[in-house]
Amino acid sequence: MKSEADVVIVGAGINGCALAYELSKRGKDVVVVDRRHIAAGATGRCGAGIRQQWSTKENALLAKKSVEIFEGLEEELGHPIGFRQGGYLIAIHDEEDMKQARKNVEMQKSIGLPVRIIDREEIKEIVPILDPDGMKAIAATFCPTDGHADPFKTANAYALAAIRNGATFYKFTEVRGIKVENREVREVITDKGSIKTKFVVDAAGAWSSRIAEMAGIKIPNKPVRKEALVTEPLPRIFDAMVISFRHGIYFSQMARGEILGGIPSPEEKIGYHFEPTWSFLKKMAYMLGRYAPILKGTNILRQWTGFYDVTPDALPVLGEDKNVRGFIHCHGFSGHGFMIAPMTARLLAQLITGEKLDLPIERLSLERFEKGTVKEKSVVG
Amino acid sequence: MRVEQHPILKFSHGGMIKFYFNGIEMYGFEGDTIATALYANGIKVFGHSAKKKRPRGFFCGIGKCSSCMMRVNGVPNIRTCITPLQEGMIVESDKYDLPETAPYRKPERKTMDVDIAIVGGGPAGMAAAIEAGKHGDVSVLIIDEQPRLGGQLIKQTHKFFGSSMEGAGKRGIEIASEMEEEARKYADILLETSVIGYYNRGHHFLAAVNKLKGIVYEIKAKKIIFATGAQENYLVFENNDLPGVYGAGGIQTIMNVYGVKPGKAGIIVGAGNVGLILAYQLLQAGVKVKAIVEAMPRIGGYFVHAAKVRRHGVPIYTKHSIMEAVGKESVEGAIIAQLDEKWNFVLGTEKKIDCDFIAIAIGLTPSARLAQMAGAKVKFIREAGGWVALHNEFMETTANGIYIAGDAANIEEASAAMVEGKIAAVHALNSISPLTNFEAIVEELRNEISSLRKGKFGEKARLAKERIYEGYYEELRGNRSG
Amino acid sequence: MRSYEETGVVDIGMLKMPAEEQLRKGVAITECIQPIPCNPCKEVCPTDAIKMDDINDPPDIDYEKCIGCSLCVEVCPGLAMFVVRKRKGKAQITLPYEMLPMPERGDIVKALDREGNVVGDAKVIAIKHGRTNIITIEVDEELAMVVRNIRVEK
Ligand SMILES: Cc1cc2nc3c(=O)[nH]c(=O)nc-3n(C[C@H](O)[C@H](O)[C@H](O)COP(=O)(O)OP(=O)(O)OC[C@H]3O[C@@H](n4cnc5c(N)ncnc54)[C@H](O)[C@@H]3O)c2cc1C
Ligand SMILES: Cc1cc2nc3c(=O)[nH]c(=O)nc-3n(C[C@H](O)[C@H](O)[C@H](O)COP(=O)(O)OP(=O)(O)OC[C@H]3O[C@@H](n4cnc5c(N)ncnc54)[C@H](O)[C@@H]3O)c2cc1C
Ligand code: SF4
Ligand code: SF4
Repeated sequence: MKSEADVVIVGAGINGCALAYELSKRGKDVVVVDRRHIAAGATGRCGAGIRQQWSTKENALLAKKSVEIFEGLEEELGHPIGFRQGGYLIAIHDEEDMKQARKNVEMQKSIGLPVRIIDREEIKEIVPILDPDGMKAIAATFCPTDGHADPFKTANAYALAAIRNGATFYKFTEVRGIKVENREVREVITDKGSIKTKFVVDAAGAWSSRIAEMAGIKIPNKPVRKEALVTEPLPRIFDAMVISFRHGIYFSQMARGEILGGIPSPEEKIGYHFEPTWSFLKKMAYMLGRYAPILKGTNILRQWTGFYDVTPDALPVLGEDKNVRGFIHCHGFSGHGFMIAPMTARLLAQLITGEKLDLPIERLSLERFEKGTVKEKSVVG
Repeated sequence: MRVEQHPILKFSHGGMIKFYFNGIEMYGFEGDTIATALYANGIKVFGHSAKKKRPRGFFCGIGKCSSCMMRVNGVPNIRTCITPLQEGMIVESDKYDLPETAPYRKPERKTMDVDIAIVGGGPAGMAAAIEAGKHGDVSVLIIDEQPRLGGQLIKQTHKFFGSSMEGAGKRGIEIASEMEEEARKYADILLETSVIGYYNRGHHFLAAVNKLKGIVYEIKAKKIIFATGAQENYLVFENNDLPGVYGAGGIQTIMNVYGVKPGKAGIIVGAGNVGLILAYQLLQAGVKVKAIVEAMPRIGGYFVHAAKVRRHGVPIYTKHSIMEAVGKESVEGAIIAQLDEKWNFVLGTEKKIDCDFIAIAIGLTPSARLAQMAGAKVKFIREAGGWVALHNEFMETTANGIYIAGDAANIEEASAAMVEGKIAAVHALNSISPLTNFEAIVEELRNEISSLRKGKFGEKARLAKERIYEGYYEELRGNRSG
Repeated sequence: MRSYEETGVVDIGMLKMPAEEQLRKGVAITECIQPIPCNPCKEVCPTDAIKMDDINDPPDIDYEKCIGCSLCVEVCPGLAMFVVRKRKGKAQITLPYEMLPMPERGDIVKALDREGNVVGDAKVIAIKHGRTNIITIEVDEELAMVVRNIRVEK
């Protein structure tokens, strides 16, 4: 194991891998440590949907910038990432939804997103198997440049490109402690040895609070079990991701034809509960059948769990800690850490190397929780 | 290609059933599966792969793989190897589009509450049920996805080895029938019902589905014994996806359960007991066996099994393996060649053998997934056949009240599977309500199983069990300290 | 010499041979030479002629006790028991037969060695139907330890 590095990243999920790439591209000597393997956490278990339709301008911008990166990422990294832009179709259930949707669409359009409100007929044109009655939808919003990428391929592509740039990945290596002296990060201690460093990045997903604690930092993040399932492959029917903030459901069709999706399970609770639940399976099967009746009777291949790393306002925590110099927060992504990872990584790399940031990130600092926060409305699952 | 006459088995076919394959009228017998009926009609190609259009036939024959899927009565992705043939069925290959409306009816929901639920009705599961019923007054439920109890036993026309106490000297099919009769006295039985998941809902809970009848079972149980058996291993060689390349178990199923021959002449890859016995069973069904190839320098199975087939003129090539399956739409031959010390093919030693099927008999992998879902810690243990659920001497896994027995615990044989089933049952019983003679019963069963594992052929099982117990106790200690 | 574990064929040198007079009486020849966990032969023997301390031991036949009843031939799952009796320049071999077609008494069938080669003709002199059908054939005396199978051509 190396004894020194410029930056040590804890966690080889999409965020750890992307940041390793952005930093190594800037000539930094980077080490990534994961107690399991690449994409072993939420990344390998997620829906990997990429959505720009957010309710606040800042979030929408972050996502939009990410999509711009996604569009050229395969070429930049030199490895496939399975990126497709089939759009996001977001159900509008009643007049109240409609009011919010109008507001959102107006803001989203103002930053250049090709979003529009579509009627029930068009819902069926875009996703022919949907039943607007079953969905209880009066309309929907649709943004054709939203999309999806393969989370395994994307994380791996970032990691491979980072390694090409000289980054080192230590898999099956657990971070056990962080040495802080004079309120500065000095060393990262793992079960396989220690690494001296000035910067440690907490990209440990649902375990981020444990890593922060090692440096004496308290963060309000909570792990929340989320469940997903995938059906047998079906003929290619649709490209869009279908979601409803009201029902919490989301699903889309994968490259091979499987339908992958999730919904909050009735037994959802905070804590490290890995077990999948029967009530989720039943609820998701029932709701899928309501949204797309033709799927009734379709075989389900697998169900699994993953964790959201949830903050009080469902927004991530980004930036350097105010009390411990060199401790970089990169967590709290709830259900949308995959889609914004390319931009998040770029911003944090700019921060660490002292470049000018493309977007401001102060509003995502840890200190915001002291002031009280406003929750993002457009979240699912 | 029906088996006309058999020295051991009598096939009493039911009435004729008319069905349609890609629009052509065909006939099968009542009791056939769709796949066996097609096979008997000479249909080997069940479809083509979606992208590269490579021909597909069935492989495992027991509903564990997906190469036999077809559209049946408009429903896509039906496993034809385990779906019973019905009058007028419309079977279509290479049809991937969705139907107009979902051929779906709302399933009936049934809830059950039992003391001991046993998943898998092979020798391990049946022995567990019988033992539990004999020693205690508890409610026992066996769930199996096949149309009849017996597991692997119902395909075994040969006489079993092992201890006379566990039925050795009798044929597998006979042991299955005898045990079934016993088991029915003590247990409720759900057949054609797949356990699809374990969930902890404050108590042990299984979800099971009978797809044919449209029933979903929600089963609450005090203890669960997973006796789910094993899955066939696969081998990499050129054209290994051609129809006509089968798992050994698949051939046994269509031949010995349904009376349909896999072909006219074949070769077998693997000279372990399964490969050797399969060769003998093929000869009994009137099918030629051109060769048995074995990569190891020695025959892996019992010498007596090898001698049986050698006596009929079947050659066994040790230090040989299969290089390639030859054929366009289905197997027309096989190329075998010698292996050197580093397991590379020795060029120039290739032999082409004309045959219309290739049987893969290179071992099994325990089906421990459900136990894992129930919280049992798993570990890769080569001697046991792969990823296995760690368990203790009482067959209890690291998850409280969750047991595993038989081939699911580690690949062994039927006698051991039965004794393991019994041990699990007795322990489960004792922890529901203490038995007065618990120690004595267990002691006896322990002695029986350790004598089975004594010899040279028991070495692997001894090693496997040692490592499984070791892992179990390590895990337990780890949990306590962590 | 390649071992039986490579060839699947036993070298007769490895078998325990009864004395001539015992062969004239008719005794069991076991070709079960590898330690495997199996014991039905021992359990079935009416005279306790088969010694096996542990279930993994190969059976060891006491030729003083063996009466050539052939119950072990019928029960053995390995089809590894034979009864051989020498009589008037001929050898009578009782062997298990689980194939089709079934011969009839008096039929002349092909006599096969341990590799399935035809080594002569055999006359079927007795058939006993049981869990495994056992057939007694008559061959030339020098084939007593050579012939272990038959082929019925109908
Ligand atoms: C069911 C589900 C569906 C989702 N759908 C979407 C979606 O459609 N779109 C979207 O954008 N997002 C989605 N998300 C959210 C998204 O998956 C996450 O926000 C994102 O993957 C987080 O990535 P990460 O790299 O920060 O963390 P993770 O991928 O969780 O990686 C953290 C890594 O840290 C490692 N680690 C933890 N502790 C230690 C330690 N002590 N030492 C070393 N390594 C450690 C873990 O092994 C893990 O590999 C979904 C999440 C779930 C669970
Ligand atoms: C060719 C061959 C020859 C053999 N010869 C001998 C021999 O001579 N002597 C000997 O002792 N042993 C022999 N064996 C081994 C013996 O058959 C097996 O060890 C034994 O059958 C294992 O028993 P089991 O009950 O553990 O599993 P199995 O017999 O495989 O039974 C498992 C059962 O579980 C059911 N099941 C699995 N998953 C589910 C689910 N999710 N829901 C519902 N049901 C499920 C299956 O349908 C199956 O019926 C032989 C095996 C083979 C293949
Ligand atoms: S032939 Fe009869 S007496 Fe002789 S060993 Fe066999 S069973 Fe025993
Ligand atoms: S019954 Fe046959 S295989 Fe078993 S020990 Fe006796 S001789 Fe050997």
